Amino acid sequence: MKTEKQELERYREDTEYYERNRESLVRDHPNEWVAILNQKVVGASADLDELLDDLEHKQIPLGEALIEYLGAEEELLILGEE
Amino acid sequence: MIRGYFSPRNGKNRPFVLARFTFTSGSSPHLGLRTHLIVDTGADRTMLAPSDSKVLARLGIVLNDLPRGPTSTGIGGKAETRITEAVLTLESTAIPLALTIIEPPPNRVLTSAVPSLLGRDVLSQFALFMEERTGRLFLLDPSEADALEF
Repeated sequence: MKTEKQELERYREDTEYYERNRESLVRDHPNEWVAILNQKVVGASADLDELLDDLEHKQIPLGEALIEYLGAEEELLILGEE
Repeated sequence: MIRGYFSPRNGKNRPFVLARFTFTSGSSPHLGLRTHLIVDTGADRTMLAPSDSKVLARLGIVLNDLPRGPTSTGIGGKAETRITEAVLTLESTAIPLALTIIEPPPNRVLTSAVPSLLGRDVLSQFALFMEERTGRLFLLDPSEADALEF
């Protein structure tokens, strides 16, 4: 069983994988949600609910996978909350 | 010290920290969600975005069973929220908090990646050092911040 530190490191590696490969991921999955686990794309769909259904079907731990939306267009993000 | 990072998202470099939430209420007390939070000094509270909220619901947290939180207001409009007790772990630092969860909009496919937020309820416990030029993003605890000399 992996320790919390090892799990964090794995998630960090998945994040780095996403960053390194973002261009090709956007090319392959434009405007889709993708799930990455252990530096592999384990699912993709334009509909997040469908992706989550697929991950559950494959018994991929939802709380551990990196899930990202691959928007093909640049977006301006303005956050904040009150 | 907690190290964050800058990550490209849709053509912009944005500041994030890796995070893990564990939930102390509900039927699964050790339920965990790993995500990354965008560092947002404009957010009053740490909040889970609708995409993470959907994952959370799949993990067994019934959003409708949670107490309602205040309506969230931002530039993008208003959203309904729920509140739950959680523990946020940033590297080896565990922070108990009342987590605000933004309810996913009903009957609508999410088509944007609004990230979950690390707000001032947590940021206020640290000194934030952020320099995009060198890619440095640190949360310093009070003893580390007090040792700084300017």
